[in-house]
Amino acid sequence: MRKAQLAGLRGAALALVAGLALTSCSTGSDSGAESEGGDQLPATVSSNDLRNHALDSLQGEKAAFVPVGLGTPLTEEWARQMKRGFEAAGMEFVVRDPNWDTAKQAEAVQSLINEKPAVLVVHNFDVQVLAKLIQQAEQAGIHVIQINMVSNYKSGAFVGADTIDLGRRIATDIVAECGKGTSTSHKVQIVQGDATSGFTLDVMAGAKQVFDKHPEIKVVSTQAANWDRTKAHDITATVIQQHPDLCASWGFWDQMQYGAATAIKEAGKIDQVKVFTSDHSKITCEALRDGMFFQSYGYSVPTQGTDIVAIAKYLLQSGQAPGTARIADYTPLVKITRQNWDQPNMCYDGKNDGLSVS
Amino acid sequence: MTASVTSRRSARRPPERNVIGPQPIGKRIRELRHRAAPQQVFAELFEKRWMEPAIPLALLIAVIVFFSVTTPAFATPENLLSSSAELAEIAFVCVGMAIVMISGGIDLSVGSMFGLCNMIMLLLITIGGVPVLPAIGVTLLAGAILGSVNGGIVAYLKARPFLTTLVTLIIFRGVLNLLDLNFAAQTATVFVTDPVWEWFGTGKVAGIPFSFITLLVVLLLGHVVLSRSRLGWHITAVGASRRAARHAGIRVERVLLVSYVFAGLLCALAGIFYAARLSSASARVGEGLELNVLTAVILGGISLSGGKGTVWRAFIGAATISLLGKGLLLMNVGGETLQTALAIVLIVAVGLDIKWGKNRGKAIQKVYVNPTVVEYGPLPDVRQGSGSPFEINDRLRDAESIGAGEVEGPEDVVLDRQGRLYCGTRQGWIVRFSGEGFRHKEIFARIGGHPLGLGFDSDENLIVCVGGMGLYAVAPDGTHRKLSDETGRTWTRLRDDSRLRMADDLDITPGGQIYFSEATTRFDMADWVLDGVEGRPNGRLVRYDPATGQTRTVVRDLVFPNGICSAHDGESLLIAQTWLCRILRYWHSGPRQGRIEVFMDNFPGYLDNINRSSDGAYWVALNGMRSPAYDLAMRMPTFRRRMMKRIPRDEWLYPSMNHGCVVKVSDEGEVLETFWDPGGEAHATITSMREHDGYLYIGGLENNRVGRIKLDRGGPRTGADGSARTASTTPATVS
Amino acid sequence: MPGREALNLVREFLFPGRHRGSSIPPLDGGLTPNDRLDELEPAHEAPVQEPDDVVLDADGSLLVTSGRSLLRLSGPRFRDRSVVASFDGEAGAIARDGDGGVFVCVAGAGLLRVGPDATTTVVTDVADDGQPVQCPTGVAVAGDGTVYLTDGSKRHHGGDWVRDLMELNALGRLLRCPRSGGRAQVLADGLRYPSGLCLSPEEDALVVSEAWAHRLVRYPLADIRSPEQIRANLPGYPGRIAPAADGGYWLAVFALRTQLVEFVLTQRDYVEQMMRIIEPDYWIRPALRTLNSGLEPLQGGQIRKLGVIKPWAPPRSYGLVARIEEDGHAQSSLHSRGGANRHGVTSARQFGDRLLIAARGGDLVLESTVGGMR
Repeated sequence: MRKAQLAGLRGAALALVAGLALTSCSTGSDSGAESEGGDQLPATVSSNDLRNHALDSLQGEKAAFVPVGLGTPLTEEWARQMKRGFEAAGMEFVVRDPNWDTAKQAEAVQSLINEKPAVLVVHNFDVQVLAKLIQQAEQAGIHVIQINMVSNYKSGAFVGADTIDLGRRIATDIVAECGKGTSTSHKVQIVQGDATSGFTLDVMAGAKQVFDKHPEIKVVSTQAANWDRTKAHDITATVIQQHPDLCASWGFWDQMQYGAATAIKEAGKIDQVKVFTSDHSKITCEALRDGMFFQSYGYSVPTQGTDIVAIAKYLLQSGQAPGTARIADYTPLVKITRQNWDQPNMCYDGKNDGLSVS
Repeated sequence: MTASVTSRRSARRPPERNVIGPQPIGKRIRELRHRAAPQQVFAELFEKRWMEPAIPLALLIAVIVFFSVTTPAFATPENLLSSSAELAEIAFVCVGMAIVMISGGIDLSVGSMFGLCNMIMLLLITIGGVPVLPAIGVTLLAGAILGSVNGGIVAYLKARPFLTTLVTLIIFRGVLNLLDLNFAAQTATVFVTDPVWEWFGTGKVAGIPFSFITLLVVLLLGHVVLSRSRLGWHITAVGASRRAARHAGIRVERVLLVSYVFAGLLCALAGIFYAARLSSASARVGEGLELNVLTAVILGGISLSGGKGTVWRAFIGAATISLLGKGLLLMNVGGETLQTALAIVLIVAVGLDIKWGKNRGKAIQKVYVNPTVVEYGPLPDVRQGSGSPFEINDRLRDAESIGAGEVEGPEDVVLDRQGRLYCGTRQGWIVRFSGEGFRHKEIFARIGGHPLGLGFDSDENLIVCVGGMGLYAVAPDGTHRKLSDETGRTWTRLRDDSRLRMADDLDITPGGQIYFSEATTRFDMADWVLDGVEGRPNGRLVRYDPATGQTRTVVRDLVFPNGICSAHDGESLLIAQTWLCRILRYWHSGPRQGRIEVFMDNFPGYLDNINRSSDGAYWVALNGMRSPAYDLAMRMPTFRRRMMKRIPRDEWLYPSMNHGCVVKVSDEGEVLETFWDPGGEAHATITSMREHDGYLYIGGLENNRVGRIKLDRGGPRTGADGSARTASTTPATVS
Repeated sequence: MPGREALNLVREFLFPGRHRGSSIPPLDGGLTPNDRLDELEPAHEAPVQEPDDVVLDADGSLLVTSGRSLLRLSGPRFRDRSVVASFDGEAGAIARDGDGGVFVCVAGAGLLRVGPDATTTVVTDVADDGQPVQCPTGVAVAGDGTVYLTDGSKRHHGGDWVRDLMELNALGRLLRCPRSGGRAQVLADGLRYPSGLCLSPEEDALVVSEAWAHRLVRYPLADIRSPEQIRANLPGYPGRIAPAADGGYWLAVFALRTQLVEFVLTQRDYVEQMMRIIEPDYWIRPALRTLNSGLEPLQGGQIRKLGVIKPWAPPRSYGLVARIEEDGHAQSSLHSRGGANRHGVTSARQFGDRLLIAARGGDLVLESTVGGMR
């Protein structure tokens, strides 16, 4: 975990140098910090000047957030954290809600490109839909930070779970529960999000690495429920009928997978089928308490919000051109089980900013 | 009674007011105020066909204005340009939906077709590795096939469009989900860098996105196809009434199929642009689009019941919801609010649009007639014992009647050289009476419209002004042909007045030119009295040149020019103006060419036709009398306007049309004698008279006979009404 | 003003036809148009000039007011006629006195009495409010000898009634005086042209027609101050009212309300000018007869088409006698429509089974048997 972060930072530093080299002779298409002296402040700068520089490069700037849709604990928590962080820094923060409509999301980003905020935080529907737009945004001088679901086009910064590792870890856990040496059918159902979502693609990649080494695991169903609880429920209800001896059901998001868990419970198999998922909103803890979920992985959602703010602050103060850095900030993954769910701040509820146990 | 108009300007243009001479300034201002007619503009604007989508358009403009004011980022060129690209995609689908709806169906599967075509396009160029242009072709084909599935089921299996497309919505979406599951992940990681593809996604022509340009082309094509082509008419006909269309010989099934194929094609086109812009091969694409599209199309005012709508309406609807969505997005309004706002706007707009469709006609009717001030001179006393030249007598009471009950509405009468009598009827016929006592009746010609003014040219052709149709000629054998039905348009008027609406009376000058009056360009035959209630200069004098076949407006802006008569001098015309109760003299040739003067003024009734008499005087028909109450009302336009608004038409105060008379006036403008039918039992509305061989023949627009009285004086007994034949040696004389 | 007009336009557009407009009720139910008045035989041979009221005298002759005189029509088909009395003003309503005398309303003079010996005496010509009684329009004599009469207007009388309408006056009075005469007592004031009255069969109330208010009002004699409206919004202007033999009343409706007149009445500027510069015959107004002159105002529906005026054309004058139930409900009626001429019915009185009708506009007294009414 740490290593990855360090690597990211190192990359950022390199990019920074490159960026400096570029900006020193460019006429500057940048949005913010450059006008404030352009170059990095000398180490001997007075505290006051540093303070002025830091505040001025943020003051009055605009940060925009385009999730796939508000109204879920995940996106609401991000929005809440960002609003707090950005506004505390004297920035303006707006949310554009496409309400789970790909075309609307593209429109929202397009309109933001026209408006040129300093920072744009996007939560990609899929790896393609915003790819060109993110590129355009960066060319237009907007720092783009992607969150949790990455695009094919990698912008200056990414904040989110290390999804490949997440896939690997859950797959490993499933192998432990359903693999060789267990008296189960070894049958596993996978409930994806959108098939073209960066999250789905990465988690599947991670899972593949593990399952390839464990051929006894039979993935009996891989279907996309498109982050929708009802769809997950319907898919799972069918799967459980065809495979009553299912060992595990793995859904990529707690909100969605709760539907699958309900279907399994309805089929009376909740004690037999182990329900795996990720994310740690309140529903996860409740589902673990009620025995609906078997386990979940939290990825420190509240921290992700604050991390975005921190990275945005860094990008703005550094004065480097958008798109010149490539940072990835992977937040820690925490396994939440029926045993530890009741520890403090294990799940976020939109009220506490608790840090998850790492 | 003759008043000469001296000012240079009015010598060329008709003096508009009935009162000649100096006027108090206050009166003048009042008159000017009433001359302006904003209501008229309003009414004529409303009448335009292109005003039909006014409510949707107003809404669209309201949306644009609202967001331009409230949301700074909205009215920027960048935003509008990027919006236009997004708008283009939904507009394609809307046009497709519109075509299907006009054909009387509905296509709920547009969203799925759109998504599926998007997916197909992406699969082809990523995994398939197909070059872009062929891929586009294949995708369009796929769209057409999808559409033809819908169309085939609806048209040939006679399934209900709603259910059919609901099922295909699910099926297409299912196929899309399958493709998504199996292939989407692979497309996700392929970048296509084909320049054509790039062009489709981000290309701009003159700064405008390529997709929007394509949309404009599609709209134009769609407009031409729908409104100008046989196919478009068939689609509309099928939508309006399938059974009637079938009876009319339209191949309904094929038309339906084609309209669904159009929808499929347009969805494919939208999908291609979407794919090029976003490359998002998600199963989610186009989900719920059908609702948005349906909303847009209904918002645009395309009827769910079919047979009504244009591509522009579809576009307006699409633009409205697209821009509304965009604006709310820019205002950082959440997705749920957006849906609610859309719903509210839809309800309001559809409600208003229904009101519009329903009430537009009524609103036009209410404001169409625009009264203005008409001031008359003091009413000459016509009562018995008054001693005025117009004193009522009963000289018409004992008129012989010709064809009583056999003709309906002989507005004008004329006799040929053999003494046969011709008159028009409201059935659109020219009736001829001949033989002893004119007892033999035959229908000479069936032209249509309402034949009004009649006259023979030098070749014994009967020239006819046909109300509602124009100027016609009937050969001696009874065959008729059109001479003219349009003249130059008055470009200062909003309504197109080039078509002759109410050619009224004609006369032929010694030079062979046919001059005829068009009484009003604003009212139809049935409403001619309304022109009087309005009192505005809506008529004109038109000339038809038989040699060149050209029609030209000679004098515009005349208040109801009715009777036309070539004066005995051969150089001027007398124009009887019904509502102004006066006669104008217009010189068409000679030294005073182009001048207009008031020949006689302030008659006690409303003038109709005017003819030469055999002794160098003129006959003038009065179709009604001025009643003091109506004279007063003519001075009070707001009174008349309120009257028209508050009470039904049968109750309106009208010019007193039940009483008329014939007046003989001299060439100097003196009243010589009058012929009245008091009570108007037989000859209520006298609109014409014709002297022939010592007799005076009388016609009336609302009468059921032609009257005849013997003129009890000597005088030149010419052959056929050849009044002017003795005065001037001209080939064309009979008016 | 333009703003209001524009607003009205918008309102008109959104809710067409919802303006108040005129609320003249249609002629339906018992008032459904027919031609029964035109089908009646005249009671007499030679025309009687403008008969205003008619009563059957005890000897079987007819007493008719016509112009300034009281005529007696007698003999077979009432061929013989004699002038009973002449007056200084237009003679109107008549009521028989018990002793062979007749009360006659004379415009400008008051209530007069013509004795059996043809002597004329003034019964009353001034009321106790000091105002002269110049426009007596109806008279009724009670069994106790009290005479009730309506005074149409304090300002106009006789043929000037139309001015009173145009001025929208409410200057009428309900009066009472003893049979012997003297100052009349004002029972009600401020009425809108009371144009006729009669006693209820029980003689416990008066029924008064109020022409410009288009209504019938009942005044209980016991409590004359609390009148009660028994029929409002009549489609015409009610005139004289007389009791019917089997209960209910005969109401002479001397003209119908038209939408044009109702509209013009609201246009005061027009009315003022019209009254100032135009002769009353040619006003826009209800009339007792149509002059068939081109100087009269013409309405759209009145245009003669192919020699015919539609019977349903808006009527300038009209003939209507209505049989009204005690509750004001119209039971049946006799009409003379547009195109015909038995218009301006000023009186309809029943004597036994004979109904006598004075059609002033038609210069006729008509007679009908009441049995034929059903």
